Amino acid sequence: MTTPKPNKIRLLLVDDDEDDYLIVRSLVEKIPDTPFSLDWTPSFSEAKRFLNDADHDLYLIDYRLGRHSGLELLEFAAPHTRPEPFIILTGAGDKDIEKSAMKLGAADYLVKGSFDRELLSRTLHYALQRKQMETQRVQHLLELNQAKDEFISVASHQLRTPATGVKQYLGMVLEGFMGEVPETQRTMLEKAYESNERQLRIVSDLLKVAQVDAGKVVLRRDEVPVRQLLEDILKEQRDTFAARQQTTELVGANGESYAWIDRDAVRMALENIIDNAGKYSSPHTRVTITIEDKPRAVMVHIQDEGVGIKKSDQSRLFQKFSRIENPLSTTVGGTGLGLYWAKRIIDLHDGRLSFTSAPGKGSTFSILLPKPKTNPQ
Amino acid sequence: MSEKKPSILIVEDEPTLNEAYITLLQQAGYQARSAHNGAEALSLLEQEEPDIIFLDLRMPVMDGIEFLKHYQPREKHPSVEIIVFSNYDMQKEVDEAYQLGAHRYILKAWASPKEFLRIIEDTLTAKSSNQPPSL
Repeated sequence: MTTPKPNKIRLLLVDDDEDDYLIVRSLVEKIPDTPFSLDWTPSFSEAKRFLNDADHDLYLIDYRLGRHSGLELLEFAAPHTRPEPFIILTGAGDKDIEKSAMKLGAADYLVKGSFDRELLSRTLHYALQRKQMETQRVQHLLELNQAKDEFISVASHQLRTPATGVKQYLGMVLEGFMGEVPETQRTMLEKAYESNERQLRIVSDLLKVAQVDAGKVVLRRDEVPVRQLLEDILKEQRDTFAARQQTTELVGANGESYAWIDRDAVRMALENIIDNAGKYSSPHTRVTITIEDKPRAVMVHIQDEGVGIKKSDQSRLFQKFSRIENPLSTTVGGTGLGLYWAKRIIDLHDGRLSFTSAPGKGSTFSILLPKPKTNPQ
Repeated sequence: MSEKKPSILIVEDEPTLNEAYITLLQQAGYQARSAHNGAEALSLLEQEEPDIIFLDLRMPVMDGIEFLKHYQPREKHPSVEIIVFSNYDMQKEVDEAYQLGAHRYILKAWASPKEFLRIIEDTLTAKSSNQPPSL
């Protein structure tokens, strides 16, 4: 039914009344040097197919479509998300319908029987023009957003270089390559070194968050034994926990539980949560990690005996830059990006990160990681 | 280790960092040479193969990726260990470096002097156990 006519603006009329189609067609044809070509379908379901094919430049939709309505079709098409304008055709005085149609994203409306070729032509042209401007504006915003992402990326990477220089030179002095360092100076140099390390961590967190926000994180999934992964993390953090005189315990899943995850990404997320569990706990406490094997997922519970999270702060926990006041927050000095990133990464896996907490008693963070699908579909 | 000092080539455009690594390597008793971009590295490498190359990626004149394309480590220099040493942890670049024959990627900002030297020791140990002396 639709034969593409080159250089013509392709209209699709959805109207279950053939007489109406014939009227609109004759009006379109009467427009001098008409730039329009008109296709027609009386069928709701065929209209949906046309919308999916997106071969037209503008849609004219009758409000009455047998058992269906033009509004349903608008809802299906979601005009906000498309580059083509939608114009609804109504009977006289259907003010409510016009309003609903606008709300659903219609660009304009025409009252049946009361428009001539001039009004039709003008309405079509204006609708196309407005939509084109809107599309350009969206494009412009997308470009700005991309420029912002690139700026963050370049700026953060650039910040690393001078900080790496500080790390090298201070590190060489501290490690005694340039002779012995008196104790009083050593203490100061260590503080400078640690401060620089913190700056490097902030840069890394910013970069990770910028990547995940820009949708640039590509998961490289693999079957990963969860207990093994947690053992590796605990081994690496052993000294840190020992320095705080804290203990860790890993329980469950002696038989292997495998998760279908990006090993590096999930490792970083888990490291962050385990590190938090220790950081926000006092000395002589314990962090217990439990692996729970479920039919379709592996759950990891990370339980601490730390400061806990106040009820009023709980909803902010996963927000970007949310620094939450607690007895240890000033000494810990986080970036407010770690948990936000961890949650985004777990979400990307179709997993779940949640927590329960009681101030003064401790928190339990639960991470649900999907298992490999046994019969791929 | 043999009587000959292991040799390390640093390819790094930032002068302060380049100097830091060279100072550290000399202090630690290695034979250290430095280049500030890929082209400089290629001309230095005409004289002698080092044991390890630390290769920055983003450099003027000739960047790390371009260097790898010319140097062809896998085909022409299989015994040289190439460690990509960059502060740009962009997956795409790192992947490309691996495809072109780099063996490892290390985030420059991560490596303290101690860690830097440990990486070298580990790499040299692995090298000597993988490749028995060819004489």
